[in-house]
Amino acid sequence: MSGVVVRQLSKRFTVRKAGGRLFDRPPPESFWALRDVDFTVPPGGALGIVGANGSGKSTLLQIVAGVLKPTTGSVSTTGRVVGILNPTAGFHPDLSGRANIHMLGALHGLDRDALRPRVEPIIEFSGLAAYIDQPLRTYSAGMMIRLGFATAAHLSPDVLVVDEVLSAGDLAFQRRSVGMARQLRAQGVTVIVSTHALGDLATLCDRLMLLERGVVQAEGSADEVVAKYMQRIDAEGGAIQPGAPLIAGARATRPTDDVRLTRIVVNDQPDPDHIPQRCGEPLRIELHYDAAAPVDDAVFRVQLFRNDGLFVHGQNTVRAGLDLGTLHGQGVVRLEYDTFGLLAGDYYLSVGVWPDEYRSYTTGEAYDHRPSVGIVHVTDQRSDGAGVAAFPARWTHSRGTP
Amino acid sequence: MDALPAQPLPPSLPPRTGWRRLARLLAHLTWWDMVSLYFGSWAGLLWNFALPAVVILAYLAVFELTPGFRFGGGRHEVGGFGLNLVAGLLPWLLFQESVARAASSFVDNRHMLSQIPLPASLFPLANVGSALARHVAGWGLFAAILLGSGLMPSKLWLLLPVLLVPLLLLAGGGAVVAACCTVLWRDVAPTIQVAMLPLFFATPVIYPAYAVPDKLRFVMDLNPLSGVVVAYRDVLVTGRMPQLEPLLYALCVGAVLVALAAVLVRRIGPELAERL
Repeated sequence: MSGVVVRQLSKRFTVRKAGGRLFDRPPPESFWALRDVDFTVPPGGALGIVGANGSGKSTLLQIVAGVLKPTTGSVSTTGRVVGILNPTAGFHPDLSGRANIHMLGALHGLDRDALRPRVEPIIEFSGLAAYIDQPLRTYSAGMMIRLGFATAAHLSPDVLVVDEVLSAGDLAFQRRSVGMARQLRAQGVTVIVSTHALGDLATLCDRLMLLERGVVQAEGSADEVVAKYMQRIDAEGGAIQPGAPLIAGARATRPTDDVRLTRIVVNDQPDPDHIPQRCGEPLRIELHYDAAAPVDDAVFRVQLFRNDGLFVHGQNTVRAGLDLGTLHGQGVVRLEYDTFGLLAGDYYLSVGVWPDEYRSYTTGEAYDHRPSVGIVHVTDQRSDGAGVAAFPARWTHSRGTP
Repeated sequence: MDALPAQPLPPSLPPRTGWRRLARLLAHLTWWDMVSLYFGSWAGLLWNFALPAVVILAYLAVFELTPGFRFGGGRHEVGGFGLNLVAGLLPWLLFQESVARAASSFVDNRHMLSQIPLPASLFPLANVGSALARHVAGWGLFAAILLGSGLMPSKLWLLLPVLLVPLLLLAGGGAVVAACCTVLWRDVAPTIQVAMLPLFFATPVIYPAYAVPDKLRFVMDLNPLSGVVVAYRDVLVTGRMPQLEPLLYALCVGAVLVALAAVLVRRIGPELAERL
């Protein structure tokens, strides 16, 4: 058997408190960071590990990478295991990026001849050609991560272990990294990754594992494990609260009073906090307004954000070609979806009225803006598909030459 | 999605294992230890050799060219004060540099030890390796100085690699023990820095062994470096065959240090990354 095989793995840490008198130190305390973890990843397979901070993800990855030893149990890997376990990636701060590539390659057992043809692809992939001969201490954390991932991916790993860094680079590099990881998988490289970017995990991994206080709580498909993870977060008080800002510190834009939203009705429920919604079924949103003065530039907008902040859908009256004319007095603007196309998950519903479409994106000035006014809790059926969005589709099959 | 690199990734390579891999890793870490010491400077790697050379030349200039300095008061003297001093400094510097720098090597390299599974003892041994490179360069400089003075290095110089054996056991064992102890108790590294000064004066580097008073001779005899330093001076300057007994004593103490280092590495090795 090759790939990664973990059997009954447990890890206990002993914490020695700093300080105290020389001969009167507080006794060390120990705790179990992992208990009886068991999994197998075949060659070319990818396992994603999710869980809250302190759940044992990093400890597990460090053990798989061979940096930490398990207290009990075993880890079996084949071939070269390359880990990106922290942002510094094992680099020397005083050496240049290029020198660090050579050093990391040498430490992973590649001689000069083997490393030479990889250096330029590493630099090209990292996008750091302009900075590659500068000392690493001048790099930002994101640049170090880019160089670390680029180097690790080009060292011919048989097992690639990535802890949290996939979500740390800029968006373009995240996409390139996930693409590279998928390319490595196609070459038979086993990938084990932990990240809080659940979208990346679903894209890259065929199986996820949920860790909680060092114990495996769930293992299975991305949909199942993410759903369970969300349930756990909700149960522990981390549920999304209606009206809570999507970004800490963000506030609803102060209304100008020219146009105000007086009531928001979703599926005939007025001002709902939680909106149950089935994938593929209709969704109707009514925005009741009151224009105190004549307004001829109002744009009504509806947005949906996934709970990790991903903007998954938006719609506005200008984009849809609806001419509202001059608003004055009360009225209702309706948005109707014949088939709601998002798959299972919780989504923030954000609505608002802006002076015009362009200014709504640039200045944020709004007549009335209600961020995360409610949570759309979507359930789906297995046949709806997997991922974020559902599209009407059907499979067909015909035997023989078409 | 951005385009991935056009060229295919190089094929997978079988990882090196065993002693060959360890030897290569040690060579790499030694090289990087020397490079990183002066990285960014114009002379770079050359400073590793230029600085000790300047020190040696300065000692020689001061003590050989200035009249009045006589090694051991001139009794049984072969060679001037400067030559005798430098002959003793060469082995001392190898030991002192190795152990003092290695004491913090695990802590200093935690960014690598917490990222890559490596045999940890290679890091302090790389400090010994880079000190050894400077030491061997010192032999060359010393030979050049002798030749420049019209003196021919004796055939006893062929014994230098033999003298290296106890010296490297002492330096290597001491380096790994110091590095391990610093992981367990962070006070060890600065303590070693402080302890180097009395150890220097307890070693016959700046004075001949015969000048030590009888009541203090046991201190010098207990110090395993004494035999090595005296043997170096015998070989490099006086042209006498070194005494075997002090060298065997140094060899035994070195072997004990290496064994202790092995025990410590086996003991704390599995917990090293989490203790750093």
